[in-house]
Amino acid sequence: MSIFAVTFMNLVKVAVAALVAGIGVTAIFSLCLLGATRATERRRAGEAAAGWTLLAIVAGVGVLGASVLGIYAVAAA
Amino acid sequence: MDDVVLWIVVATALAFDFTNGFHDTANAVATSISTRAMGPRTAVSMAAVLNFVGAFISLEVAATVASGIVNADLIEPEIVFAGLVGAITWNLATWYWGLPSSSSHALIGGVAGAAFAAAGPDAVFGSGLVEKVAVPALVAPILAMLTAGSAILVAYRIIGRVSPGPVSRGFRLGQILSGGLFSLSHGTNDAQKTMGIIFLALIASGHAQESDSVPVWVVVSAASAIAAGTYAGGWRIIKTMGSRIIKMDPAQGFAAQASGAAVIFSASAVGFPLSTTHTMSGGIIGAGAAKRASAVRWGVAGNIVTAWVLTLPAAALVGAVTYGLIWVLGADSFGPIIVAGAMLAALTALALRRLAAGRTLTAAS
Repeated sequence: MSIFAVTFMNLVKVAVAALVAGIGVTAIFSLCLLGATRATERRRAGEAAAGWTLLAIVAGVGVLGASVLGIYAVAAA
Repeated sequence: MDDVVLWIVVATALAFDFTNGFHDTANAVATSISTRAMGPRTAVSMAAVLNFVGAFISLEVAATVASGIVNADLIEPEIVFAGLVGAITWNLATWYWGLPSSSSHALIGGVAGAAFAAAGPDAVFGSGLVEKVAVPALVAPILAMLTAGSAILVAYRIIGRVSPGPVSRGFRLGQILSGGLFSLSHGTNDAQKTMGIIFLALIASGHAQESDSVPVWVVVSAASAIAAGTYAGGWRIIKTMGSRIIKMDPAQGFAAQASGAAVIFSASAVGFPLSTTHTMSGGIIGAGAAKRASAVRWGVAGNIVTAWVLTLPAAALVGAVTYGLIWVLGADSFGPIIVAGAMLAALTALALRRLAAGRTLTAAS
């Protein structure tokens, strides 16, 4: 009995998904930190910080969404 | 008598699962502890709970690890038992040396070695070993290295001009999430292998058919064993992965963990049993080398790669020798009982010796 559970296409899928998810999540989380830090600095300087705050919130939601999506992808497999 | 052997196999498989969690705690918590994102006890507790939860999320790997490497028609519970002894022995040896090696490859090597000793070359599929050991052994660290290396460069590009204090605090917070994801992904991947091996023993003893689904008690016991092992922690390997390969900053820790989790999740989704150890080691080296190649202690990395290369043959050798011993002592049930008793006595003596020397057995030391 020989069952080839892993095909070349599966390997390509794993590589593409891992690269997109790993780089994407790190980049989006970095944007979240950039937004949060800049927003804090602006507020301390008495300047408007709505744009940076929005960036932090959207990126934060994006990271959480990507995490949930990853768990869902495994659970649904 | 067959049932006695089967339950010895199940107990040994759960013992292997415990060593798997113990050995692989470092994969999930080493970077978080190293960058002080979490304290050791908090980190291992969180990792244990998420490993337990992760074991219930997917059974894809459990469905594939029991097939394709050894000829299931020739497999007997004694072979599975001897293979598990080989895997446990290698896990404990590499833990003692502080080397992060693959528990999955130790398991595959042990079973393949025992099967080879029992039934000759026909019992082992060379193509299965290439597919499930050689290819993943190359893919996992390289893919994680590339992903983490690219991720950290992108991160530095984005946060390069931001004051480092708040950013480091932010990445430490992020490491709680990425470390949690990695623990969860470890549970989805590694607990499944024990489920697969117990299922293989159930099939071999006639208690299950290949077409059956994995029994609930197998899932629950495997999840519990890996969680308990993770909670116990393997401090020597945590030290190697957390500070001996590179001295990492919180951003590197986050990139390594997030990339590792991405690789493992992607692999689990298609039932591709990757080594979490290879993945995390690759992620750590990638995150370090992308910043500065000389930041990586290549001597330590070389020792780790040597352990990876030796894992399969060493576990196979112990598995084959153990099977030979069982065969000499009597394969019906006497042999497995004697070998299991000797292993238990050796482990108890090792634990007592460490406790007598004033060393704790947990990561919180």
